[in-house]
Amino acid sequence: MTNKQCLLILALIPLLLPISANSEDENELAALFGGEEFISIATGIAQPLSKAPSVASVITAKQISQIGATDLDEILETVPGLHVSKNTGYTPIYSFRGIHADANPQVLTLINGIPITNLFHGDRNLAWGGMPVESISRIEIIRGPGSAIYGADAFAGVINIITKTPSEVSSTSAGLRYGTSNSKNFWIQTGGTVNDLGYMAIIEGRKTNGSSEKITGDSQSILDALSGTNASLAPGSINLEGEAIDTRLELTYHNFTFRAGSQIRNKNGLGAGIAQALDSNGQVASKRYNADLNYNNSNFTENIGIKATASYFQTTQEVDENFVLFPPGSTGSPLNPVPYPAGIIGNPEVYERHYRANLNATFRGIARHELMGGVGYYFGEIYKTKEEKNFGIDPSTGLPIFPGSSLVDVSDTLFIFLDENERENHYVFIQDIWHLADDWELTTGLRYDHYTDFGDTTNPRAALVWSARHNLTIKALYGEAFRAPSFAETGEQANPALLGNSKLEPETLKSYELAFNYKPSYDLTLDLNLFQYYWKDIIQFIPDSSGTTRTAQNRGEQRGQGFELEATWRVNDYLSALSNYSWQKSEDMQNDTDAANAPEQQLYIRTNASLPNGWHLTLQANRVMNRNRAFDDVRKDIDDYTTVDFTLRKSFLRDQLELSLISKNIFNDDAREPSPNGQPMPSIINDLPLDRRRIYGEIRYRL
Amino acid sequence: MMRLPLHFFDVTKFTSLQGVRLLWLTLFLPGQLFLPCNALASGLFIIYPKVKAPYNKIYKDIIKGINENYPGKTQKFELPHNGDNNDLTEQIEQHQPDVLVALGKGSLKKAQQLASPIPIVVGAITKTEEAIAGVSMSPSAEVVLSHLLGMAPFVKQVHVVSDHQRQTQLDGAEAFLLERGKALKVEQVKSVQEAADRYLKIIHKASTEDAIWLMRGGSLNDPSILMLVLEAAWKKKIIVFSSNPSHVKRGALFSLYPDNRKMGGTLAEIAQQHELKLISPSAGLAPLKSVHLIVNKRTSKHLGIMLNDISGLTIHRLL
Repeated sequence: MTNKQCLLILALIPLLLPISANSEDENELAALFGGEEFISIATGIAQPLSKAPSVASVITAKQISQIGATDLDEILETVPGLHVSKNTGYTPIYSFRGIHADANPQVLTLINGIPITNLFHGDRNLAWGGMPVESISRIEIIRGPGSAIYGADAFAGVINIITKTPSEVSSTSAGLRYGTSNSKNFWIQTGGTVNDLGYMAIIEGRKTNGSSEKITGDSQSILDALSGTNASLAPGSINLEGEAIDTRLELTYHNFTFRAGSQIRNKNGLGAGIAQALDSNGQVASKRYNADLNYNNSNFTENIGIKATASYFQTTQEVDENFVLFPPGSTGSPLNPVPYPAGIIGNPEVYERHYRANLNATFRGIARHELMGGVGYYFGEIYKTKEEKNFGIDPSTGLPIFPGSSLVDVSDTLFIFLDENERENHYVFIQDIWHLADDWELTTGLRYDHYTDFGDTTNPRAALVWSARHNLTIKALYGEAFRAPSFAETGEQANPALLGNSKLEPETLKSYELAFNYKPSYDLTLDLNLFQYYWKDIIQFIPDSSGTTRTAQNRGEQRGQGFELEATWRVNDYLSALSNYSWQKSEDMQNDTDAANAPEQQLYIRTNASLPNGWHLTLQANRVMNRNRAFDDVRKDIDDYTTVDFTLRKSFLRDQLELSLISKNIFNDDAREPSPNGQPMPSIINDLPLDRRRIYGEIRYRL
Repeated sequence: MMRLPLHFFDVTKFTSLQGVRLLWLTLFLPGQLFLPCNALASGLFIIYPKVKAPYNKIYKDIIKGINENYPGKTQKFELPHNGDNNDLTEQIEQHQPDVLVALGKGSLKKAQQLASPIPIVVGAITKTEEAIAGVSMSPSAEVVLSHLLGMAPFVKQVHVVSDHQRQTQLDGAEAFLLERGKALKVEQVKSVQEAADRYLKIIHKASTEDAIWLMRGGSLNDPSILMLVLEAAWKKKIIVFSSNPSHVKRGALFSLYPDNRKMGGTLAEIAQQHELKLISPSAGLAPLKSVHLIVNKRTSKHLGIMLNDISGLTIHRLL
């Protein structure tokens, strides 16, 4: 060791020593308020969690740090009854309790209570590009339907991401993370209060080379076999490179809150390809902007509280680099003898705007009742669609576009994939919490929605809550939900494979739940949730009599049941453990078989040790089990997998500086998510590989 | 120096024109009218410890309350973890404050080490070794009990099991209850086991007109005691309230914690009294009166206490 290295180590030693001055004051305050967590609640940094009568999980910023999450999906995977799967574009499928679909429109994702769901597919965008976690204060996840409160798409589950408030970000801090696949993250946040104006601003950036995981065969491999070509890029790497910049601003002044944000995604790889054929060229982009203004006054009058919100959300799907649906040399079809020298290219772009206004009121003037009612308006539009392609019909000539032709702009013609479209929705809802008797509470709610495109729907819910003992609460819940068809499902056109259907009805769901919360000691909490659901009018693309296309229809039917068991245990001041186990059995009633793709069992365990000298170690393991194939899929069931992660953090200078080492999938397990079935066989036969071992180093500094 | 009393101007002695002029002056020159007042207060110097989040929010809120209520200049000094006194001394010499406001034990210790003639006002503390003017972080017994009676006016007896002397607080509580025709029953115990037995006996005999006050301190905050008391009290629908706010999460009906901003305001008032020499430097800690109320919704419903019907109390947090 050189002298310089010795000096460096000696210089660092004081940083490693615990600093105890002023901790006497901290101890006194902790004793007075009853702990650090309670100080956060008392000083308004953290809001106490609302005890809505639903089966919900809440994950706080502290837990996110323990998990070592670098992305939203890593947090959601820890929730019982929820599994984060992938579709072929590698955008997430949030699969709740066996309800699983490729575009995943059955899940309502909200940021600060405002939907970020698209009209196009009902998902979060082809260029979702993940979501960084530094701005997140907490995530509330409701399993089961929530249409009586949230309206459309609060169907299989609701994910509400709450961002940090000015009082939570009371100083300026910054961080950097670097790791596997040349992944770079940075963030800078600041917050505070000037007079009565609170402000919070954060910028988060991410750039990654993606993943080096390979798939062995794709849809072009099958076409090659049928056409005698040799065009497939498989075996080859999936493409998950991308750049992301997220910004958020929050201003609070008395009862008003204004928020604005953006999520810019550039050069995002297309996973395993738009048409399940590897595409090393295509890159998608998205620009998402949001703004909302809220007025919240829980004491508007003695008995009335008011909450009003107006919001705007804009989202796009744009093409950065040509989407090569099938690679150069492909003929696109065994019936076509002529190969496309540049590959088959289709560049669909979608531009959406969403406007919302909502007024809620609570009324406390009737003894033993808490009434809540609200009205709202929504207007959403796909205000622009664009497409260039080198196949299909040339609208200027009416003749086929021949292989080798340059790209033809088919925007604003009959031959575009989707027309511009709009949707309006008016709604009114009412909810009553009736304190029937001591320890008994009945919540009933009803929401009526009118949609300009498919008519009316009314969704009730009811919850009976019984505080059976001082440490045992039992809830029985019933809820109904609907899922509005996406514009792709109603309006997809000029597509060689899939066609929309303007006559579609919403999907509907009925759900029954029984939930037990038991606290045998102050350090141990046990939760057991039993559920049963019936999902019908499932929108599926059914083969047409022509044999070449499939059209969206309300055809599927699924029934499921299961349970989730959770335990959280605070072993002592330094050690805590959390575990959950989920089991579900769902039946594809249309085909009289087990429902496909969602795991029937999941097990998650996390232990965290936080030592007073600033060391924090978290170990977590996640096992995903029993995923069935679709009824006509000839493949054997996909293998179970287990990932084990660790997070090691060390804070210095009274938490001003933190260094961390994070590793995901440390045992390098070959974890895969199911690829879709296809006829005569699945295009990607060997499923969708997830990341192997990843390692990140992280540094955070707070001024 | 004195603040100008408002009745200094006797408007009846003015003609209407003079009155109009005075009104004009009052409306348009408020800064000038209050100028002498500002000039008088040459400043507070607030010393507070550098602590990590979320503890630092408590000091920030107190300082905010001081700034909002003190008309003169304030300077603040964040006490480093392991610093010497030099910086602090230099800063105080530079600013020449009228009063030092020390928040927390560490700050008080530093302020006292300076041996400066500048009077000290102390806050964010529960007790001091010697009598120093300031505000305690602990709510007074009167404030706690007035909240109890606000929520449950039907309570006639309040039970306390204590393992050490809290006579001042208990005397205050007893007097407060007696005035309202209610009683305080105190039982002294020497061990956790004895406390457990005593609590069970109280609950066994109790009716809904009884309430149990879990006071701070000693072994009585043992989780096993808390669990025992809350479980037995739940079964018999006996009110349990606590001096420890975190007990509310575990099932106590309510607790109180300081309204830090208002406490800052009180500190500013005490500091001004110091400037005006209206208070003795050794006046001691005033009990906390500005509090926030935290209530357990589940427990209140179990006890049949409808929170909508509580008048005169504002619930700050509902768990």
